[in-house]
Amino acid sequence: MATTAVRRRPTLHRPVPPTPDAHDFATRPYDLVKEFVLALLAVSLLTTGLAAVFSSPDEPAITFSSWAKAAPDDVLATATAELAGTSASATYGPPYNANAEGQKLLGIPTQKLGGVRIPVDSADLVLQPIGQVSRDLPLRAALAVWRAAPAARQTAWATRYGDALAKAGGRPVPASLAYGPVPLLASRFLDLARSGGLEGSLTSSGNFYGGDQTRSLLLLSDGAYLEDTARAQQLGGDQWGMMNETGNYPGQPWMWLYTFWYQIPPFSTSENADAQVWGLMLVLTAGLMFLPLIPGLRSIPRWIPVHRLVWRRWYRSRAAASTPAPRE
Amino acid sequence: MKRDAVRASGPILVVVHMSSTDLLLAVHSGSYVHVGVINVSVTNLLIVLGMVVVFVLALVLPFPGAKDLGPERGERS
Amino acid sequence: MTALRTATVGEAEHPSTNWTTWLRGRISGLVPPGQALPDRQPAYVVSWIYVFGVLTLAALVVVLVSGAVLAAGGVAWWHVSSLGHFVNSMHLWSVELFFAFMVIHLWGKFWMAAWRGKRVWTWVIGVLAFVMSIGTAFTGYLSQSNFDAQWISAEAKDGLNAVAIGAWFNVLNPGQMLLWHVLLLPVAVGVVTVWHIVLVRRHGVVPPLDTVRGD
Repeated sequence: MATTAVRRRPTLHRPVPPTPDAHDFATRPYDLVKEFVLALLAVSLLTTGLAAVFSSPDEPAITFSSWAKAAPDDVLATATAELAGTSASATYGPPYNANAEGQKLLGIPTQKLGGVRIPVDSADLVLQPIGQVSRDLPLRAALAVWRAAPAARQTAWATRYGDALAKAGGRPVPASLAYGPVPLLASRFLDLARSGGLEGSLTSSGNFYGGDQTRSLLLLSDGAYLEDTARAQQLGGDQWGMMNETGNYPGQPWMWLYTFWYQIPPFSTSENADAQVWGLMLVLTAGLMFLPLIPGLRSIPRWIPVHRLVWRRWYRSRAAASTPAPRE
Repeated sequence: MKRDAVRASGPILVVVHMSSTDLLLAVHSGSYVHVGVINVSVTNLLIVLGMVVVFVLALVLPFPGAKDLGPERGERS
Repeated sequence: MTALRTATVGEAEHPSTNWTTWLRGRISGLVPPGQALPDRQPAYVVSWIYVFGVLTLAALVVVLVSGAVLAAGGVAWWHVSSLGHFVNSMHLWSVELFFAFMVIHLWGKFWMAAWRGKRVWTWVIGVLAFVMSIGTAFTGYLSQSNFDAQWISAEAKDGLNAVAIGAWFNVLNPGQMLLWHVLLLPVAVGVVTVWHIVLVRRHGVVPPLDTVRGD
């Protein structure tokens, strides 16, 4: 049966003959099972050797306690931003909330399509754990003041305190009524984090079994410490981070094209970069998948005859034979 | 948690495990080749170059088997 | 005593409505007789480039076995056991080898234009296996329960949320990601791999370019 090549316009003005049936050719002995067993042995040995010599990375997870000890100002600033509604998660949009439009691809609001299916209250990331602390009367009072206030005042308190923290740059912020109960709430949150009381608090929150780290990870990624730690290891998005691994360990070289787009304009400065790169990679992957159907691309192997190396013995033997090999 | 320091042979890998409080300060990023927009780890670069070398070798190295590829005895499969 | 007959009785009179017969016919018709595990190959199969498919398959086996040992130990085992850490290292390096061999296999098949002769589907399924393997590796990175997993999930959520996938496929949920990594995706990759190999055995190894019928 003819291949699709015959029915298309000929490339290079030369008609392409149909591909013959592989089963019509002369054969030679070939032990597939032995080949597989040898391959398995070789790969097993190679893997064992590489594992023994190079090992694998295991940087311990950042705990809330370690975050609080290493970067307490970051914890304070993050807690304040959660209360102010200005943190990354608070302004994220779907699937966590409806506080933003989210990203668009070619004008289509792709981020909204999933809806708010994983609702997360960012202020609650702070209020829920400290709300569970008992026998801390000033804290209980501060929480009561916070909850009694209208939303606009809550935002004003927290925004002013957040600005003051940023301006102070690590130095203590003088007390002020303008910040309401926010300084105390943030400070108690920091204490709780430092003591280890936050681990698991956002995961189980009332249940026995955890397993879903969504809220913990959103809080952690709202801070700067996680990203700073990652960037120090060349794992940032604009550092080809998708390809990289901590230390000198092998990363994911096969992600090269996906991460490449983030390094160059317009994607490197686009607010919709994630959606755009995703759309582009979808098209390119489809191009790879359906390459046999793409004129020009599918002819490259003919134009650049690497195959003459692969089948050089076959071509030589056919040229040497004066008559075609009889069918057997 | 603390783990024992793990050393590998050769200059490429020295790995020290530490508690996460020291994470930001003490862990060094691996070696990278930074040329313009390109920022690739030495390890990844070696892997890719190795793959190209293996590919070329696979094309040029002779494969064991009958020198003569004339008609073989045996049935048509 | 009547022996079990596998030949369909009465087929000449009317087509069999027997589902078993139908399935048997479909399965045995997938590959030409004797081609599922032939002990001969076309004479043009003499190049080292041909071993990268089987090397990829062998690497996949090592990935699955090392992964099974990790699964037997549980999520935190490799953090606390030096044997567990070694098995994790085997899992990492077998994955690196798996991708390296698969990509070299892809390079070879491209330059041989191996989609010719009704083999377009073989190529399509092969690329599908590649893409699904990347997804499987991705969920593996999310299942490490260490700093790497924290950072990768924090970053990847943005990409997936931007196109609404994150609303269902929650990379911040290690429980979900681990199950996808250990069960759902390996099964899917396995099915696609078997399909790919069946197609290769069905059509045979693609003949050299510029070979005409009767050559």
